[in-house]
Amino acid sequence: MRPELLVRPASLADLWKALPALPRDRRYLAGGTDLMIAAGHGHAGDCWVDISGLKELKSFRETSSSIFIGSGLTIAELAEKPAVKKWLPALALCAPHYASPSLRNMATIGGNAANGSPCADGVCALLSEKAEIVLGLKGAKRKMPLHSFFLAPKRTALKKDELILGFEVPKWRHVSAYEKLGPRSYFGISKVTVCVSAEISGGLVKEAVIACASVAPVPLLARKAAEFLYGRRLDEGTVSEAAALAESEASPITDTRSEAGYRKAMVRVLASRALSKLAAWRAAGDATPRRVPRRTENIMLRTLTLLAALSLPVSALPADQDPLLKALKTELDRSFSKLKDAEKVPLYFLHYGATDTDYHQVGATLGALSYENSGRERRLDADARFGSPALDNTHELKGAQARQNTREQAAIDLPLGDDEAAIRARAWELTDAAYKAALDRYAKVRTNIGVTAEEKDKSGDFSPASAETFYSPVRLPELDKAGYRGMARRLSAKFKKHGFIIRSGVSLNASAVNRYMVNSEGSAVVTGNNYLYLSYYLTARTKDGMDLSRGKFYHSDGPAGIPGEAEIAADIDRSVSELAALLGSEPSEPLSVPAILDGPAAGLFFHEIFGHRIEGHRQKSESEGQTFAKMIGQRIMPEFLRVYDDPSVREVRGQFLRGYYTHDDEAVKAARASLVENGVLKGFLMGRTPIEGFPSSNGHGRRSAGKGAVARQGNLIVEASATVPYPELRGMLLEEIKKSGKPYGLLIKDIYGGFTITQRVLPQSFTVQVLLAYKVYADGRPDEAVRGLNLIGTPIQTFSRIKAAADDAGVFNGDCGAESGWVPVSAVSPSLLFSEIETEKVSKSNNKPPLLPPPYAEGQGGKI
Amino acid sequence: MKKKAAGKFQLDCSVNGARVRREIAASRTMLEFLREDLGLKGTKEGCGEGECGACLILLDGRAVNSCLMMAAQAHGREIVTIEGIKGRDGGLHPIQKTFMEEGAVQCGFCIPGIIVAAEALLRRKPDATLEDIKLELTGNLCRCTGYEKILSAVELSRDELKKKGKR
Repeated sequence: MRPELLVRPASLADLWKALPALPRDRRYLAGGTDLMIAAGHGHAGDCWVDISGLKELKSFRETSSSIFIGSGLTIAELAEKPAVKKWLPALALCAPHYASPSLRNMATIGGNAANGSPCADGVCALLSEKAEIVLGLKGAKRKMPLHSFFLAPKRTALKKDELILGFEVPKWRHVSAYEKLGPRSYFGISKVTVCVSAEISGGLVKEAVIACASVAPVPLLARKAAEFLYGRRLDEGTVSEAAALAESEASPITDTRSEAGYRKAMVRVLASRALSKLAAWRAAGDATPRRVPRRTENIMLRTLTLLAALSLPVSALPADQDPLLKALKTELDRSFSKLKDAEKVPLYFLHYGATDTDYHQVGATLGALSYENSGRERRLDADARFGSPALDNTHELKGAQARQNTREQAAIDLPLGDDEAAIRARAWELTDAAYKAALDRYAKVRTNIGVTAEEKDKSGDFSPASAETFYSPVRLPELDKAGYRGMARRLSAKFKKHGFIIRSGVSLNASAVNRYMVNSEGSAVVTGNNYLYLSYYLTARTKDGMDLSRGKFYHSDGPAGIPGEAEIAADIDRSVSELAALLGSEPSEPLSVPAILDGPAAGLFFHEIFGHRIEGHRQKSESEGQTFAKMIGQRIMPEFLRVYDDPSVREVRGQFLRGYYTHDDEAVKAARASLVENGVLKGFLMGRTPIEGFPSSNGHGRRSAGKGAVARQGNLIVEASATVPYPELRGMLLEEIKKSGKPYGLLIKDIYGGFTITQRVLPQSFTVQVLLAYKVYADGRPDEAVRGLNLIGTPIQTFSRIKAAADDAGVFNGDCGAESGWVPVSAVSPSLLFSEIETEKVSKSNNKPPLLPPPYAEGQGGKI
Repeated sequence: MKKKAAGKFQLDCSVNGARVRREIAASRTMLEFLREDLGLKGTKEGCGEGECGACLILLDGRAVNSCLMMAAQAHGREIVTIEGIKGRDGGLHPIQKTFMEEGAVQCGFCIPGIIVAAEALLRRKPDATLEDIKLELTGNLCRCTGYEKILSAVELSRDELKKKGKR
């Protein structure tokens, strides 16, 4: 039924004024294409508030780093915008498949989200483009990631009367593919849609977002599949594994439009189609209009020159003969001397950072090679600062403009060879862009300061640093490629003996990363790291539809650090039996019990819940939670703990640390940052953004290409002054269990990773996903494997529950992602005893295990 | 705030070039307003859910489904219905003529909507290809003709309009 009452406010201000006088059961009417149909089927509110005439909701704004889309824009209006075609390829691809031409003239993008349907086409596209949604209620605005807006079918985070104002989508260098399956090619509601956006650089996936519609209660992000793609080449093997992962993440239902089983299978098919399209576009060299196409013959030539260059040891080349360093220095000097006084406001600092990566990787599955490739890429960042160290263009914007505080910046590919003129030309091009972007932002900063409240922290924007000169590049070590191929094949064939394993694989990655930095302070730093790792994984699915996995990474800086085949084979056998035990175990209920976190897991735990909260720049940002900002000199954890971050440490007790480096990405020498002494907070991780009481960097300013540096962790090391041998720690756990009156405690052996929220708008909590854990009984029963749990909690409480530490040191090596990109890190900690730790249930796919045993296990009966 | 006593709405818009000002029931759809209040019966109701396109009208030059639109939403805007699509001489529009010549009309119920869609397309894209025409008509259902004659009629009218420069 259409309501009797309809009002049409002339402006947003009018709207907020009118609401209190209207009947309580009121609905917003935008394009009407969903609401009018709902009204045809039943009650649809006592009053409609027509927002289709509000000009405020039709705005479309483009900044250097993002695009704002007003919620009232129709799909047709969006499809016509050149900026959408350029920066939002997924949305542009989705438009022709969105209903019919006349409905596209009516339906708004805001209505598409507000309707809360899991099959929304426009939402699916925006999700893959990393959109955030902006909501307004009277004067108050809030913003959240688009995926967290959807709570359940037809249920969203909208409060009563709250209105979607629009969407903010970051500008990032991505390509997209949109695959929709409906009853016909056009004008049908989706049965299944998969939309993939990815940034691909040097042939490797830097970031991928996979959004799916109609396959879960809400629009779905296939996170496992996206994460799997990170750092990989889009070859056939990768595409099919990612597609299979995406399928495992979908949990569709059967309804009038399609059947659950069919939908699930189609997620894999559509994901595979979408990824293959992206791969094919790349191969054709037309991945995106913003990329310079690379022709195959050029790559061949470059590789040949490269091999010739590599035949002499790179480190034997003196710094003043390094063509890349020379080119960067010359161009920086020219640009800076000519540009520093070209404007009324001085350009007081100019910095180039180039990253040269040379890699080789090989992967095998079930005894067969699935990929082998090598490659090289060079990326350049330019940082320009206008004003003065006290106030420059990087100053945080507050109030309505706070959303522009992104670290995204332009970065470009550099020629690979020794052609100095070609390198300089690219640097010149980027400098010009960085110069203009910085000048533009400086003007914004000046205006913003005039209209927003004064900050608490009066420290400046940039700290002084001495000129550094350092030259120590590395090259890719000699690799026994045939040997690795054979080993990967043999090790991966081991999984064939076990019919319960669904997917498995072995891979080896080697890379030489050389970072070049020159700046107007006179620094010239070239520093290299070798990263080598071998890894394996195996997955299985329980009868109740929970996907489980085991795996291991062996990190090192050279082939000598990778264990022998026999040792890895023994580890694989152990992982197989662990997975079998997990498969037979019961899913965990939510708990709050005493627990031990084994070394590496405890390290990662500290990285997530502590390390990210003591990154210096967060202590003064007005949007951060600032958990520890004012706690210097206060006890924040037990007295027996000390925590520091020291990137200059290469290894701990013979174990390689992946977070090792000589200089950070702001050309500052790596130094030890003392964080906690005797349980008392002493300091923060500092880049060159000063904060009150901490005026200078301790060499933790880090980034990956295309981002501005912020303070990040390198090697976070937790040490205990009082320790007990591990068996004694276990004894203490049993005591705690008895004391607590709980039937059992937890022994957490392995965790996958986690995430934590440091922004003020959301709860200051953490989640850590458990891969391998056991129930420990106080009455002497043997330990029992347990599955399906996440550790959860809040930082301040959790630290007070650490009761004791063992005398071991577990190392976690990995890659950490944050606003300044992905950086290699390590975390080291002894095994720790907690008096209490809270767990929650994990979400599961609810998919049945495969009906047949795998073909190679026919006859084993598919038994464990 | 354009609101009168509960249930009424003071609508001011343009229909086929003439200004229309009147008080309507707030719960009126555009389609009801055109057919019942203004007596413009050329715009049809087919499915009432935006699937068939029989109710298409032009709103500020863009085709929209009048069954899914509230009359109040046209406030301050320009409406053109099938009755307003005319030749320069006030007689039949070239699209209407070619539909007759090609025999593209059988029962005729869907035709007003299809002509509105074709007009919207050819205004925006005078060089529309056959593929463009097919895509533009994805929201229009015809249960008699099998579409072939409709598509060729739109192609012919495109050529006709281009030849005569009749815009």
